[in-house]
Amino acid sequence: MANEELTRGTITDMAARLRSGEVSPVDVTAAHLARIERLNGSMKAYLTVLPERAMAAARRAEAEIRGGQYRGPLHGVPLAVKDLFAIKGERMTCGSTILAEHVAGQHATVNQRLEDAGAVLLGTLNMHEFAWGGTSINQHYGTPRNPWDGERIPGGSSGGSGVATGAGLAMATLGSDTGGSIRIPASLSGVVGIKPTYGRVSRYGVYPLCWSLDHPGPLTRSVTDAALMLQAIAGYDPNDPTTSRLPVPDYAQQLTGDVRGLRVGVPRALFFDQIDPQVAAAVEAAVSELSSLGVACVDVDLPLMRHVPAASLTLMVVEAYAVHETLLRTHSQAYGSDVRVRLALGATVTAAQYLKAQRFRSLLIREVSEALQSVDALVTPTTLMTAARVDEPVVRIGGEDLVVAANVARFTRAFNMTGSPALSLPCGFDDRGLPIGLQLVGRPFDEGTVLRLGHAYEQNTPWHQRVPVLAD
Amino acid sequence: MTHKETLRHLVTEMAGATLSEAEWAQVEAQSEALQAGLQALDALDLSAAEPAVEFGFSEEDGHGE
Repeated sequence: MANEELTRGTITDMAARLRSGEVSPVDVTAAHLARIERLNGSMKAYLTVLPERAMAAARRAEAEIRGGQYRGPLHGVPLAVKDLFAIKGERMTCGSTILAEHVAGQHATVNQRLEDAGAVLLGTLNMHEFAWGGTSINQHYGTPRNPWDGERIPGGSSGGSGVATGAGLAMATLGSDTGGSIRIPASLSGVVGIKPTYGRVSRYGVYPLCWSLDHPGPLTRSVTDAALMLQAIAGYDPNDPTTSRLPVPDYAQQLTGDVRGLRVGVPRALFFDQIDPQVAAAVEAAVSELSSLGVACVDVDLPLMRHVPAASLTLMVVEAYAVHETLLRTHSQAYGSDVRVRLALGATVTAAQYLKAQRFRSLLIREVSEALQSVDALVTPTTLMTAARVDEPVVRIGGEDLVVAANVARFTRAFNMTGSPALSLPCGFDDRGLPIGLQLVGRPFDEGTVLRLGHAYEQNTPWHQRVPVLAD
Repeated sequence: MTHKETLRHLVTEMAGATLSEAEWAQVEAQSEALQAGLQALDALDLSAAEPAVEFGFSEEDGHGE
């Protein structure tokens, strides 16, 4: 049996062992493939596993490292990507049977960059169909199991990414985030996820949900690993005209552990109303922890947030309908019911309403930007609840019944509209042992500050050290 | 034409999608909520707001070059 110890820990630790030759990329990859073989039937994290491709890449990495051609911290590290990042020559379904036979004709830029960094791609990961939902409940391929409680949703849409990262089925993964789809599974599955600034990471070769809201980014087991992953994939891409030419800073270098003198804003209104009290308490404790590290924590007011649900949904349903217009006409019965309903809703919104939502978006960008002039980052809960049961579409919080699918992205989607960098990291567990996520939101292209804050918090708290116990 | 009839025309005739009655009920409920939310935006002063179809990042960010 392959050594399962090799599937635990962080990229940061593994990279040192790989570089020194203490551990071989072949052994690490084989250990992951064996664990996937053993657990994926129940976890449903992967849609496609690529053992031959992965082992060939691992053997190449091993030869290069032995030959002194070490490429960096991802060299020989087994990773996996959401099933909407194209891997040339491999199946890409986007979690839908409509694309069950689709084979990608080119690499997504981010996959090319991971391979250029020497990473080993293990396969592609389960997701909410076409990324159009926050639960990852997938009626076609099965729902990925939350590593902390297999009866519960992992969050979505990048559910397989959260599960694979948390359950030791990949050392880190890529997800995409249109309304929270990296941060929600990070929060509910107990891992770290960062949605970078819009334009920081290329969307080329990533199947779109909404062109103006989609953000690719990593899910990892530590903030340092998130910095390393982001470093590898960030930067200008001529194939994606929305990417920025701003130089990519050295993110890991900014993780000094010293956050004294930084200021964070806490938007208490709306972000702390009608949420699970255990989530609120954990986030308040995180604010206190940041304060004890020398961060000035002040209240900020973001009154436009109350309009975000309608404006965000308008943008999403219209852009997603535009993406799917032809497929909906030809394959409407092949979509899952929830996705079919959302796409149909997109066909009912007028152009004037879409532009009204875009005009509101300008005001929101201004409001968040003004708030971030007096503070370095905003601190909020990532989600208002911990993971709901798969068979529990409604949860009762604050005396009200809340539809999980409609509320799971309540605190995340605003920052897709503003394009801001936003990090989610574990900040506690509820009394059922389910993880709670803390969201840190920064200024455009200032991923370094949110990573620095998250890293300092992580170094002084125990939450990232907990590992889920999986039933075989 | 009622709002419900308009929805059915747009989805069935224009978009070519087929929905079950249960799904129609969801579209109608979600559409009603969305219309109310969009109407609430009218209380804001949107007069000076250009649509943010591109991000408001500065030229120095190098977008669109």
